[in-house]
Amino acid sequence: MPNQGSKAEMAKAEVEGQSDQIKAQIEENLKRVYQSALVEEVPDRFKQLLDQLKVAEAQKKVAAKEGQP
Amino acid sequence: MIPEKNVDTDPRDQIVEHLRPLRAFAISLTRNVSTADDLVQETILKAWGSIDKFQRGSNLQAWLFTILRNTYYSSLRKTRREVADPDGAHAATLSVKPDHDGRMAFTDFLRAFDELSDEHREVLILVGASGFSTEEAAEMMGVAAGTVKSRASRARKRLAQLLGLAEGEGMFSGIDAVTDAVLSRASVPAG
Repeated sequence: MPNQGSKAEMAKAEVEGQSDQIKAQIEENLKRVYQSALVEEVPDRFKQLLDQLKVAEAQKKVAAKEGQP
Repeated sequence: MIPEKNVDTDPRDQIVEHLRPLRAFAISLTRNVSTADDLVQETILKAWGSIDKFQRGSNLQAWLFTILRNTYYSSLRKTRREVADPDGAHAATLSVKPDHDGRMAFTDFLRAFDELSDEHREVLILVGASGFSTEEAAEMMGVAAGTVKSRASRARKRLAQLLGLAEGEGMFSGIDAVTDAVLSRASVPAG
């Protein structure tokens, strides 16, 4: 395979020129993975769950107060 | 002076402000929205119930992230096959090459990212993407800062490998094993 040597050299030269660029692209894409999830609207059910927990907590407190002599 | 315990503010009232990053972390970690939402729900319930364990004045978001990742890993331990290889070397390499201009498509990137082990996705999202420091990530992950660094480096290497980038070997470690292998093979006279 007479072409393999020059192919490998080309690949190596390419590597050196591109490695920083590729590294930067990986970082950029990782940020994008998180950012694309971050812009999504949070389903209402989580806020509702927190509200329910708060109400339950308040009721518990009232009940505890009323239970006192 | 800041009082040690401020009775007027309940940190539970601030959980709502962290739902968005919490869910983004869950989605990035699990790569599955419904699994992520189940995790967020469980995290909210656990955080609410054990708010006494939260140290006031410390980072609430980091605390919530910690609960979420611990919940995720303990549910995985219960259900998943034992993965003897947290570095994900068992996963088949996808042959995704960057375009000729060197840019990789986001969909290709996501495919490779999905192939990573949970531990690798986690470390890359925590330190790279969501902006936590190595030390904060170490605390959340319950490991030493050095472990975070080496895991992140292995994860990046694995990701480059999955992306079909031969430079994955050399890019982050300084040893271009793949190219070297090709070169040494090429130097052997064909016969």
